Amino acid sequence: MWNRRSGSASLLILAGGLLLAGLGILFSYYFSQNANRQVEYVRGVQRRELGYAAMAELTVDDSLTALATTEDFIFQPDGITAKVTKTVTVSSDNNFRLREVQVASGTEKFCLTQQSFIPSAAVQTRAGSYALSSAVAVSSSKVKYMNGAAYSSGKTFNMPKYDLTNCIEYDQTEINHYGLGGNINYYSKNLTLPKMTYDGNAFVIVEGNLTISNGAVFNGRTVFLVLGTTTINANVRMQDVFLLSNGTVTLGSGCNITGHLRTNMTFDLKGNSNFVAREDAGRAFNGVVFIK
Amino acid sequence: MFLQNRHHRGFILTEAMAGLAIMAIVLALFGSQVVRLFVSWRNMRTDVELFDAGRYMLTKMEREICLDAVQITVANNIIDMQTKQGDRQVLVRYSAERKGIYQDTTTNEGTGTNPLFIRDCLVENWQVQKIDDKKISVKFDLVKNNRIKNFARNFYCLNGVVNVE
Repeated sequence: MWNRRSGSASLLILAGGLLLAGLGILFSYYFSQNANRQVEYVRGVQRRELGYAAMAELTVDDSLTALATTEDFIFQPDGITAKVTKTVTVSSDNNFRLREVQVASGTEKFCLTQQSFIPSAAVQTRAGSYALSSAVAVSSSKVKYMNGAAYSSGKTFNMPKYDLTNCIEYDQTEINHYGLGGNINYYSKNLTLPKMTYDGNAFVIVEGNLTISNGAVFNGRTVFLVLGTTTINANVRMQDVFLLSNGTVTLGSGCNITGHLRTNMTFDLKGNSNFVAREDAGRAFNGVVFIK
Repeated sequence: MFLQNRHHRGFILTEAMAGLAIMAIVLALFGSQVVRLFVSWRNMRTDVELFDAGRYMLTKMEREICLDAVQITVANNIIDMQTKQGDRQVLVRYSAERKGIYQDTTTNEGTGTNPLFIRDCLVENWQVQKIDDKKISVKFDLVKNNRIKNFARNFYCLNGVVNVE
């Protein structure tokens, strides 16, 4: 009589069993998702650490010229193979080095890049000996404004051949917020640097004219390549500058400049300023490493 | 007719009572296990949240320390960084009263503070040490619902050097 009934307590037990099985599946899904996230994180850390180590190897040696190598590494815990490619590209005039590292594992890639500027030996030697150097001699009436600084004239230079592929064009707002960046700052137009204190090292390429406002202070190492003219207004202070300008360099009075200023034209001095040469003014400039 | 139909529908009271009695016995037998199961589930969920929070914090710090910093000063468990953007300064510090890590960013436009931790996961035992001129070590514990997870990572400062004050 009981067996013939359509309802039975066994249905309750079956439902309970199904509920428990469902919960079990949910548990295992939830925790396998978390395990996957942890594995991905560990793999990401390994990929980045490998990239940092490979780039550190490349940047430690300025003398490294063109290079292209590939090595395989095994990631833990899942044994995936990672391919590390290191390349160094040298510009045609030998003034720029582009270092790149790529770590590829599966479909994931991590790429780092860095640019260095290494002036030619002749440019470095001149930079170490003179604070000012021009192709056309400074007017004799204005030489007195140099306050006896080490100065030479009569030699032109070739503007280094930079590659803009890995350069970032900044705008004025970014300069106002953050100052100048440690990688190559590129400006296709005229650039005016406002009066403020610039900390840190910077490499600046200006394809127009460069104007530095009255009273600006540069605390770090600053390298300028200017294709047009350069105007450094009064009371500008630069602690470690290396400037190559194709056009005339105009200098206001009261400036304190340590380093090397060089032009393919001449200097136009408006008043007394102090110029101090630095033996290492023309040394290599290593830009910061950044993710490409 | 009425009685026959009644036999073919649902449970009679005796069956329901028997079912409840069986469930009560089962619960009594496995009740503590069920409670333990739910506690385990809650703990494991908390652990997952702590791991997620720890990974988030370490990843955020990695970007600043490994790539953006050009000069790092470590003093009193505070990381003071001059970044590759010359006039941007970053300070990573622990706040004992709020049990969290905060990042103060100073630019020419002023200073802003952002938390570097997830609100529910409190930070304890925050320690920063210089390993060598290029490396620093960061250690901390994350705490939630009486669960604690330890995190430690060495960061390689690719663009700068580490000083100690």
